[in-house]
Amino acid sequence: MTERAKSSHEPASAKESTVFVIDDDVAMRTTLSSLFRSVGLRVELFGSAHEFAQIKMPDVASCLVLDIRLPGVSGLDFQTELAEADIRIPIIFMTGHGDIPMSVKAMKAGAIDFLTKPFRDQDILDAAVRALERDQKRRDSEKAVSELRILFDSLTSREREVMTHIADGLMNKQIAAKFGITEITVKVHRGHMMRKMKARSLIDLLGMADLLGIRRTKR
Amino acid sequence: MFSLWLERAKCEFLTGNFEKAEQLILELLQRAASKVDQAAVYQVKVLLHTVKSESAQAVATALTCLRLFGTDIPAHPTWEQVQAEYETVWQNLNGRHIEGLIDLPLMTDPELQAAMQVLSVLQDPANRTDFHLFCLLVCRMVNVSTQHGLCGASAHGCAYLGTILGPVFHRYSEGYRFGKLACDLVDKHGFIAHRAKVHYAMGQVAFWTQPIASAIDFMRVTFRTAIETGDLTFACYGMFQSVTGLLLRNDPLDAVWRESEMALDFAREAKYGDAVDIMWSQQRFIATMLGRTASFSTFSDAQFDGAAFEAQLTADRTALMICWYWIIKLKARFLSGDYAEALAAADMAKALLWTSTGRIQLLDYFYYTALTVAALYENGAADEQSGWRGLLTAHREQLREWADNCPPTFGDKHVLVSAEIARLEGRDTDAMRLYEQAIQTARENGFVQNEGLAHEVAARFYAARGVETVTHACLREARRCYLRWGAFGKVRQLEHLHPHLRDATIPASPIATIGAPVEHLDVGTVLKAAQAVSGEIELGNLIKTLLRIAVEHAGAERGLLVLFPGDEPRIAAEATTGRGQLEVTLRETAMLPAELPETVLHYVIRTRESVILDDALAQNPFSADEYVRQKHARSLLCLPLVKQTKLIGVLYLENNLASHVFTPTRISVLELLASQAAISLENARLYSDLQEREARIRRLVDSNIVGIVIWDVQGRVIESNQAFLDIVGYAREDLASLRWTELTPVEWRDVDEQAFAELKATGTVQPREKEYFRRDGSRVPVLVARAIFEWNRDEGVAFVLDLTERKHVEGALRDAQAHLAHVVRITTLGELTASIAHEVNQPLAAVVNAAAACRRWLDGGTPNLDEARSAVDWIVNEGNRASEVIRRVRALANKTDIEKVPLDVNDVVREAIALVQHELTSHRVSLRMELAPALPMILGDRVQLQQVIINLVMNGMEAMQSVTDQPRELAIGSHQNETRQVLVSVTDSGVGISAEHADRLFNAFFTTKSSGMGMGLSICRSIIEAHGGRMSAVNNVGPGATFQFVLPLHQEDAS
Repeated sequence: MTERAKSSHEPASAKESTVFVIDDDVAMRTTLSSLFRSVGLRVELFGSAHEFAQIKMPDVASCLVLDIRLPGVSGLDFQTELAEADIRIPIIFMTGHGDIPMSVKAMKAGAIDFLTKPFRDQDILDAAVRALERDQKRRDSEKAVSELRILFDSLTSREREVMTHIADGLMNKQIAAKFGITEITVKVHRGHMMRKMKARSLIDLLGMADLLGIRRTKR
Repeated sequence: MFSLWLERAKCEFLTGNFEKAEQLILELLQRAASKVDQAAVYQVKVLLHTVKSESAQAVATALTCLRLFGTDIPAHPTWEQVQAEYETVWQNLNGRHIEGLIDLPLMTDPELQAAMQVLSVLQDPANRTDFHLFCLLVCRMVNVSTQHGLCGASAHGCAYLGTILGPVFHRYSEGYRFGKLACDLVDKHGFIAHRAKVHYAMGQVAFWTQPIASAIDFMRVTFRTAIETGDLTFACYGMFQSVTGLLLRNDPLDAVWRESEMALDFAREAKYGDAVDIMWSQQRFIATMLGRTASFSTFSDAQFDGAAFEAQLTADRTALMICWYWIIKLKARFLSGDYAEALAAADMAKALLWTSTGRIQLLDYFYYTALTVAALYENGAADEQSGWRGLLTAHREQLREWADNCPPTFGDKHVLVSAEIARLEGRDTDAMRLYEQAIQTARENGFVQNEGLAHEVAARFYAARGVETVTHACLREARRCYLRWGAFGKVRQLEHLHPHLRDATIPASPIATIGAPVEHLDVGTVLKAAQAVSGEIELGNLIKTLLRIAVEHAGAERGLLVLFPGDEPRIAAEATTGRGQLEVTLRETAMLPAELPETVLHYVIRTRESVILDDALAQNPFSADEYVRQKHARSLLCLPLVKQTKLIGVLYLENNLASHVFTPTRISVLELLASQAAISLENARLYSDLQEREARIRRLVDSNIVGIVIWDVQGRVIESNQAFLDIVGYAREDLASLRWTELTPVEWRDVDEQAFAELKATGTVQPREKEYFRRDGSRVPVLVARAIFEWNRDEGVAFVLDLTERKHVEGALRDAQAHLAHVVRITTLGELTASIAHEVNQPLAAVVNAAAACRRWLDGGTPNLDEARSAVDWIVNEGNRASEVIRRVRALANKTDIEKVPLDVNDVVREAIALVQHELTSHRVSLRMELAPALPMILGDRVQLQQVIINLVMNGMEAMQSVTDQPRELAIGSHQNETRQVLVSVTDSGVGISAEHADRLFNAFFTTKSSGMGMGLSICRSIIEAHGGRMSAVNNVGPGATFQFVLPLHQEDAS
């Protein structure tokens, strides 16, 4: 980490969402910092991708503002590296001059935006907010699924089978026939299962099954 | 095998290896299988003995051999035996004409042929041992031929029979006919080997019966034939007897001298000692007559010691040669009036006369001995007188016999001796008549010497009788004759004895213009001619004058002057007479055979002796010359012009209308003139060389291509050409007051002082650039070189070259180069557009960000002024940064004049890198800077040096384009090297420089790129060199290459 990057580095403990800026031009990253901070965003600055890779990522909504041409590893390559490491931070690219093929490539790889310097302040701020929101959303959905997974894991194997068949749209009668048990027994398993999954209705359960990805056939 | 050994023996003999030859002969005689073989060996043995002067052994050997063939000849036959053999000759003729023998068949029996060969080689030694044997031998040879047919030896026999028929058997005309037959036989049957010998014998015979010219011709044929057949002995005989013939004919002595010189040279060349000595003797006689010996009474002079010569005439020498020497001496001493000595010589000769039977030398013996005795008679003792009377009678009879056979040659001699006898006998009337007859006969036959002699002897007769007028008349006539003969020695003797002769007026010769004898050279004419010649220093005029005088005074019809400008003779001028006018034209042409007789010319060039042909049409050594034959040359004179020993030229004169035009007397004048002319010609040539050299230098000075000044150390300008005056803008009349030291501006005085130190040390100063003041005060750039004169070290010469034009050109060149550099720079900037845009964009983007942030910090409910200020600072900063980039780009793009200022190279590097930084980044090239701190300043143009660095960085970057397997790293370094110059290097890790490109790397239009002009590195090098630095490129030890340049330090930093 360079001296300058450190100096502008806020403590990483805060729960606020954070904008990470990587640019080799000190003026560029300093003025960007000022801009983001003026709207109350937290900013962390880095002179190179390498510096950024050294830090531990805080578990908050965050985004990355990245110059596409960087000394050492280029912005696009760094995007690929992050994806491979399953770091799903939204990226906003900056470039010195418009470069269509590069922007297309960046957008396909999931970039939030591709801004040509100099850009309007509103554009970069909007992009940052949008990126942070998306990151927040992703973080939220990832959190819900992991809670459902805990509930699903608490089911007995019969209850999971019942749930799977129900998600596939089978009637109780059909399930009973499949297992060679009575329809009543199926209803008991179903009741336990619904309670354990905290499902309020069949629709609710189907949504859960979708999130867990246990439906065999799509509707 | 036998014949091989025989040939070997002959070879040993011919190469003078006598011992070996003898040894071989002994062996061969034992091996010889047949008589013929034996005879062949004997032949070599006889020849060997002959050459070793072992005549008796030679004879014995031959006779032994002949006995093999049943021929027994006694070594010393009686006269009766000779007579018998001689009679047989006529019997064998058997009524046939002598000439009829030509039709005899050829001899076929090999044994007889062998015997004839032996007889043939026996003849020479026989002649020396026993005259009877000799006579018998030649008769026998003829007899064998008439009986058994002809062979080569037959001709030999006939010829020598011819030589004795007259003298021995008194049948002169038959002698001539046998001689003629011998010649015809040789011609008819091609007996080449005998040709020289036969002609020689024929020459001998001809003297007694034919005109002298005919005999001389035979002798000359002998010489030529002998040369052709390699018979050096007979070549010498032929030459010698030719000269004898010339003397007999009373040819002008100087011409005879020249021929005798040739003969002597030849004999010396042939190393034939006897021939050399006899020719010496003969030449001494000629020298005496010419007046060239120490006195008229001796053969001795600086080169010849008479006493020593006589001392070595010992018995082991060839008797013939000794005999002839005494005869020659007899003749000389009689002519010099030393009668006692003459008589002594005659006695010496008499003892050896047997050697000379049939030889023309006998004439002189009989003639002069008689005259000597007659001269001595009145003072002789009584007993002497009676002996002398007998001698006189005998000699007169001999002369009479010869005169009867051939009156033209011998008549006057016989008559003169008869006159003397009449005088002694007191028959004065007879004597007077006979003297007159002798004079007339001699004159009629062209015997100028004999005519003179007859006059002289007659004068003595008249003087004794007190008939003074007649005496004087005779003496005058005698003197005139001797003069004509060229016997200046004799003339001087006469004048000494009769001083009044000197006062006698010389009647003008009808053809002579300066035909005065040497004593009476027309001093005025010679002086005038010599003055005219020596007065000319200009070569062309001299040649004309010389040739005109020569032709006029010699009475020539045409004349050529041949000079030697190179090694080859060339005709320098030609004089022709026609329509009473003498025309001389200068020429410069090569020799042509149609211009003059080349053989004569080459003879003169080779021997440095004059050649005079009185009648070139007559037989003479040059009569075969094509020119002589085609132009029917008559009188011809070829005179060498010699200065010291150097041949300067050759004067050639001819008169084809008359013979005997160039008389000895005229030639003596011409020779005087020639020596003067040689000196003058040489001087003129030197003068003309000098003129030419002077003209060359003059041309250099006057061409006004460069300024030339002759100056002295006091600062004076002694002389200068117009070019110098033009350069400094002065007029010629300013020269006197002009001081070259003041022409030099003060700041150049140091350069001048250095130059003078160098000049004093080495004598020259290499060209240096400096400036002069012109007259109008302006300055002119010049290049000056100087040299001190060797002979006067206070003065020297300088050349001055006006550099104004060159400076213009240099300036234009610099401009063109700068322009080109600019073009390349613009091109480079074009390539850098993206990078430059980035460099400008970056600060602009920062400015926009900062401005936006600032507004937001101010707009908030509680404006954050600190943040706003900080943002404004960035705005200012980055605004400046952007404008700085633009300024630099503009500087590079602008076509500014080159401005050299003191610079820190590191600054230049950093500024240049700022422009390409982005380019490096986008090519993923990492840059390492290794700039040495506190480098001394250099003097340079910032923009141009930046251009060089940018170029090198771009090149390095491109070299690494294809590198993917390792980091692309570019290092820029600077430091001060061991020579204290500043060195800047750009090192890449790219593909490096291939060997094939290394040489052309810095060449214009050389490129390995698909795009690009190939001007970059070329321009870089020009820029660095214009800064006084050097640029180079090398491959790294590892991957990639390093380009570097050194720059000299700024003067103030360098000290």
